[in-house]
Amino acid sequence: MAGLVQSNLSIFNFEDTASMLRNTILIPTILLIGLFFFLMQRHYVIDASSVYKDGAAIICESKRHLVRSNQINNNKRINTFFIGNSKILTGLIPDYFDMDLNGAVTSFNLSLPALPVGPHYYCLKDYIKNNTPPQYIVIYLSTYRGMIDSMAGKLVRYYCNQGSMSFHELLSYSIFFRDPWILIYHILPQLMFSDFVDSYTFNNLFHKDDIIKIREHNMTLLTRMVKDRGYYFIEEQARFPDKALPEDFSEDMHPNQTRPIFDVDSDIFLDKFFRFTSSEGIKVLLIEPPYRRGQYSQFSEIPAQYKAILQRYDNVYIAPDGWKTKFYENRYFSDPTHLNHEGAILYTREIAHEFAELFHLGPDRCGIP
Amino acid sequence: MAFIPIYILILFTTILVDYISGILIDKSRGRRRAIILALSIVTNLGMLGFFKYFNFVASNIAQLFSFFGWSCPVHTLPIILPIGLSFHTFQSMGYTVEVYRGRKPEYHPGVFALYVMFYPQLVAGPIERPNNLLVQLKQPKDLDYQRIADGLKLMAWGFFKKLVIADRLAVIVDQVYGKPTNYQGVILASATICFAYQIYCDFSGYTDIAIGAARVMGFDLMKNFSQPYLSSSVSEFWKRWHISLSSWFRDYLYIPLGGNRVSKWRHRFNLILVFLLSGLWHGASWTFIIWGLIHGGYLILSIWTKGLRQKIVDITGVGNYPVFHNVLRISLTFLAVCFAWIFFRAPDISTAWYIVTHLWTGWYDLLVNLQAPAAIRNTFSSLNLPVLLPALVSIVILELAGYFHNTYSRQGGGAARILASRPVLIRWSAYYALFCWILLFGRFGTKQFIYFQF
Repeated sequence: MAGLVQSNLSIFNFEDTASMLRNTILIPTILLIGLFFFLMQRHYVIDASSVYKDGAAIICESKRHLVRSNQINNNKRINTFFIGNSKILTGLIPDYFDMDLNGAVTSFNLSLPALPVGPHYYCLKDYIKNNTPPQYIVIYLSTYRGMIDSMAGKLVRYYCNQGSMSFHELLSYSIFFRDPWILIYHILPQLMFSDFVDSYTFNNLFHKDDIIKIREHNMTLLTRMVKDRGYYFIEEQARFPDKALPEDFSEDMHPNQTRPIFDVDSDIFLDKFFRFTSSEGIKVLLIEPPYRRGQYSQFSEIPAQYKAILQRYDNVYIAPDGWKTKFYENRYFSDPTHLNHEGAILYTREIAHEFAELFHLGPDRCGIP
Repeated sequence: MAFIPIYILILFTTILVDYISGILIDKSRGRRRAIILALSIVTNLGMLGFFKYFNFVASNIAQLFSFFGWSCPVHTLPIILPIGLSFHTFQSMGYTVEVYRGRKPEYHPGVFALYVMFYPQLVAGPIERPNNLLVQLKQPKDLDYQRIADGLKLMAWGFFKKLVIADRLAVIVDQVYGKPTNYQGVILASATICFAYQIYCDFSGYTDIAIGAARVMGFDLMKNFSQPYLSSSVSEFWKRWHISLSSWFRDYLYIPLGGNRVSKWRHRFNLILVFLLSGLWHGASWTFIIWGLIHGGYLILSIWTKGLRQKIVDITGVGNYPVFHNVLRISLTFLAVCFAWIFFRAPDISTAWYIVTHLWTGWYDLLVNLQAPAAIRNTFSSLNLPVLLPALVSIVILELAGYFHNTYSRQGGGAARILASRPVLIRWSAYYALFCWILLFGRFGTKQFIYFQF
């Protein structure tokens, strides 16, 4: 059978010194041209996606960028971070928090919408590379269960892919979420953003003004987020004109169930995060975002997940009633999930109060009436 | 259409029956040869008929019975069409016919099985002939860089057609044909033209990938397409479109029926029968049958009107302008083919009929507003223009590449060979550009090849 196969592989000619020299130059040149083409088209896709991605994705990426380029301190030494998904992004306002604590802390809302704890862990590490670690972290552990929920991988793919510039970070997501597409989509973002590429190409040719307008809108959004120190009210998702749910709004109600809680063993990054914060001497306060009145039933005792995490890590805290579900009126929500600005003020003050009590910042130093 | 492991038995039955038939035909004399051939064909067509047409026939009988108010004794069965059934059945049948005509049979069961199951073209052709593929299976293969490179280039070109053109146009076509009542004739006609290119690029893209993959391994498969939309008559179209199927029908059905060397009416009958069966081959649906009949009708019409058309050419003097005359013929042929595609693409006869009867709406408004770009934009705004634009640019690239390929082929080259003779940096830049174009504008979804369902 081997006799049937005759090799005639003459891709490059190495017969004499001159041709060998020629090929030594030629092969790297061809590879470089290929790399150039590849990077150009990838850059084009990233540029297109930066125009059409939703606000949450843009916030995610820009926060990662701000942290990497060491721009979030802005002459104030931040010692408290808020971390969580979009519920915390829209729920905790650093200005009000600092004010209520009479300047005992300087906070920044580092929440990356829609993302589990993994990207927050890497974001925090990026921050600590250039800065002294914060003293406190106020964190909501979302219920995406990493390796179990395929949702987590999908969200990381979409929201954080281009925001992360570290191959190591993306490789670790791919491994721990058992999702090779996280890495593949980072290398080939067009697989995820083909619609954006189409719109970008078409509008660049025929409606350039549209692109300029969207870029301006995105810039306004980012400026607002930076000014509000990471807090962002997702106005575009508000369902009703006055940005408040009507009192009779009753979508997504589970009155006979308790709200979902994180699972401490389901996400490898949870352990990494707590070990890292412990090693850096950071105190971590666990919080839960509020829900609409009647949306869930109240817990009768402290859930096992809280007990487990408090036993395992010595730097984790929870307010005496922090495990209980907070129920707010519909008027404090802009959509079924997120707080509006009034709701965020109320929630921030409530958390500030718990924070002050727990860390003995003293009622005299706490501006809560 | 589906891949179900147990259905491999169908493939093995086909291989076994035709392998044994081939040997028996070779060893037999006289009428016995014809009987064995007939048994082999009946077995092949029986399997094809059962899996592909049983439910179609049963549901039509049921409808007929219900029309007369009778209860129907025939019921449909939960049959799923095995993937590539029509293709490998025809390929295998072609072999037994060739043996009957005097070709030596293949005694090595493995080689014969490989001939029927040759994977690059198993599911959607080209439908190979024993004189081409079977011979190559026994020849020694060189590991040739040039062949491998040519094969990979052809595969890349196939991916370009499928991912950038066909799957993009599918978005437009699915949208319009999914709800044709929402659109005016201008849009219905545009979507039909889009479908013409969608199916061409989908099928010829698959063929390029199949031929390219086979070439990498050292095999030359037969040509299946030759710029069909540049045909200047419908009969020429069928010499350029799905060549392996149309030549199969020609060699194994049309010519045995007498071809055109029979009486005038018998010749017309032969044409209609071949195209009716060609339509039926594509799918068990009245829309495919009508599509085949329309093409058969075109051919008969072209025979009947030959004198009249010549008179028109003489009177108008259009023959004095050969380029214009050729463009006119190509355009008319293309429109005729597109009209027939309506029946091929429509999910049922009533949808096809709706489209045909509403093709003429909206044109007046478009023509009146030709000078107002905004009005033209409004007319086409219901199409997904950002998706369509890269496909249109790619079609231009495709046709230009085809033109250059044909031009250089006549000079003994071909586009790929001409490119191969350029300086290495230019050549590689062109390859990278094609690769990046596919990456940027390809639709990497899960859209299957259309012809997989046949």
